[in-house]
Amino acid sequence: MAVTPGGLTKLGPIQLRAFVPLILPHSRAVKGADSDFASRSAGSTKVTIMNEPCLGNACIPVERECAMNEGSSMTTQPLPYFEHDADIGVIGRGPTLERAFEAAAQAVFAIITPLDAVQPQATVSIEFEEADSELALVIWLNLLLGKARELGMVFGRFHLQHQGNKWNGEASGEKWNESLERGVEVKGATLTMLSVEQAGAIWEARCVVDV
Amino acid sequence: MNLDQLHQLQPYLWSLPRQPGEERAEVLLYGSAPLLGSMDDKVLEQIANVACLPGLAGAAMTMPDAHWGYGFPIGGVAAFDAKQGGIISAGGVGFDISCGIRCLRSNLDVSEALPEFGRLADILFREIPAGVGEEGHLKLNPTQIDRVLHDGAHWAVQQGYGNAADLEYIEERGRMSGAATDNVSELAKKRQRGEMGTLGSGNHYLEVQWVEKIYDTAAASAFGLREGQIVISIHCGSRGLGHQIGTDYLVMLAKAATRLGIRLPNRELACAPIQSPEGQQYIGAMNAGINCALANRQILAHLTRVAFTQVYPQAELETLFDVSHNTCKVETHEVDGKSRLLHVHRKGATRAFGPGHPMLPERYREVGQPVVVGGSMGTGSYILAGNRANPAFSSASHGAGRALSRHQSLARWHGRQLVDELARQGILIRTRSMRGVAEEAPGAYKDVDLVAEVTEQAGLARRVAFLRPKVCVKG
Repeated sequence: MAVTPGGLTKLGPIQLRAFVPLILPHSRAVKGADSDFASRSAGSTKVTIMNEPCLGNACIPVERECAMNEGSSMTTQPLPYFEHDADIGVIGRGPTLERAFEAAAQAVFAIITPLDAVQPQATVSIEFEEADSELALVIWLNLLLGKARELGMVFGRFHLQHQGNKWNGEASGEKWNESLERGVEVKGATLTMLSVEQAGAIWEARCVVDV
Repeated sequence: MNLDQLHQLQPYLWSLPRQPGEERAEVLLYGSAPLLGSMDDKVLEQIANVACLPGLAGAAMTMPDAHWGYGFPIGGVAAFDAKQGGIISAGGVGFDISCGIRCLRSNLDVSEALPEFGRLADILFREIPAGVGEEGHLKLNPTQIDRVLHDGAHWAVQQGYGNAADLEYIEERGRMSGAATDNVSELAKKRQRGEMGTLGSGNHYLEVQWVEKIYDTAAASAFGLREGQIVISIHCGSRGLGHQIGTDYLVMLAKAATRLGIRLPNRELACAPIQSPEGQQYIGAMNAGINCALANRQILAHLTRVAFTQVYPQAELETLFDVSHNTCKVETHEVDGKSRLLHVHRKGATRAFGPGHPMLPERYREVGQPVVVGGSMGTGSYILAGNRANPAFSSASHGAGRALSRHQSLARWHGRQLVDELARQGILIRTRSMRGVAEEAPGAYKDVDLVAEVTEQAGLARRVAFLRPKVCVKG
């Protein structure tokens, strides 16, 4: 087994698993997931359902652009967003491109439900190919949204690595249940206000998501 | 928006003059000074970008309820000619393909229905799956999904959801032709298998309303509307399937534009020539998405009837009309005196055919198409009628339009307080998301009265009835 630069153990052409698995008592396979798409290829995208949670992401603390809290009940993390008339602008920042993408995913899913409450009971693995880092952000976020909806899940933790055009990611979370507070559905990530930039030591990824 | 940069052509019509060297088609904005003044400058930027796209017929336009969107502005209308290199844009349709409003008229009067509104609200909330993460009662297999995508509301009626009489009053008679189910990804179909008959979230709603005021008695009579009557509006779209089609094609069309040498002022306009393989592929998928939305609203209309008859056994709910406001449709319009076949994008804009249009049901042929302008849960909505001389490719407003961002709304309102305040006003809210309620606070929207009035004064459509909400199921 080879350890990739992202700290993940590569198990095969599709599966990725945390190098240091975080064992939780609630870990389980995704119920209701069709066996025919538990491991399948959709174009250049491959998705694997695994029964072990991934490592929590390494999102660095960031300042608050604007907090999207309704009262105090939604998110406790100061996730950054930017203004948009009808929809929501999400921002992800991190010391690397991958961490910035992970933070952007957190910002997206925090619109859907408070992330603190999401248990990493199952993990979905995602692969795709894209040379353009801006389009890669949109593809990453939309693959996560698509898989979450398809599986009836919500994700709270994310991990991503990439080498050249190849992106390998994981998201862990759980099926919707009554303990999860309902926020707002995110329909998809758009190309509006889309940018992926490095400023000094910080990478920043942003786009508008349709809600 | 700074009005100094606009040229006022008529009391409710403005243009954006071209700067020296600027190569684009005409930009027209319908609205009053206060409405335009309240719009973000991004609206102007986005519609000016649309005016740069190839094959545009006439002007790129915004409706009085326009606001900053993604791709096209919301409230944006633009028609393209395939024979002149015209394009189809996923950003001109949106993720929620064929999002729209099903309007049902009832035989109930508000005075007789009022005592049972609490029970009705609870039963509607139980029967109508709403909100993020909620699945519907139906679970469809791949074959059934393909039938939905091909047959639209007809499929739903065949399954016992509603009746054939509904179909007459749905755009395209309930089935959009040209749907290519093979162009819809497997993931899109999988996303939809549990989402048929669901309301969704965000600005989607099911409202029980009453007709507070009639403006146009002839049109109201044709629409079967009278003061005091209970009416139901169901606002939703093509759910996960439509969202995934938008997702699948947004990046694909962005790349196609680059490959085909289309110079986009902004990548968010992701588009391809109508006659290109990519363009044709998207159109086939989009048409399938439209059918999904039509079937979804048909199922929801049926579930609404089921809920009503539990509370009011005498209730009869008929489809007044079903309008879509996120589409691109092939229509014939006159441009510069010539009749042309055009692909009309309406992104957050309602089709508003005028009297005599052959696509209207016979019942409405003399008065024009019903146009539903949805307002906020605390204010109200309007039903208008299309005008024969509509100057905007037979288009009109679709809603009140946001005045404040979601962030501003969250900072200003709390969902629980809003629900309580609205209850004191006699408006019952049922929701699983207090955050959603806060984001959709009545104060976050423009003055729907003003939008409807200006829509009429601009000659886009004329007011027929004002509807006041009493019960609202929020997604």
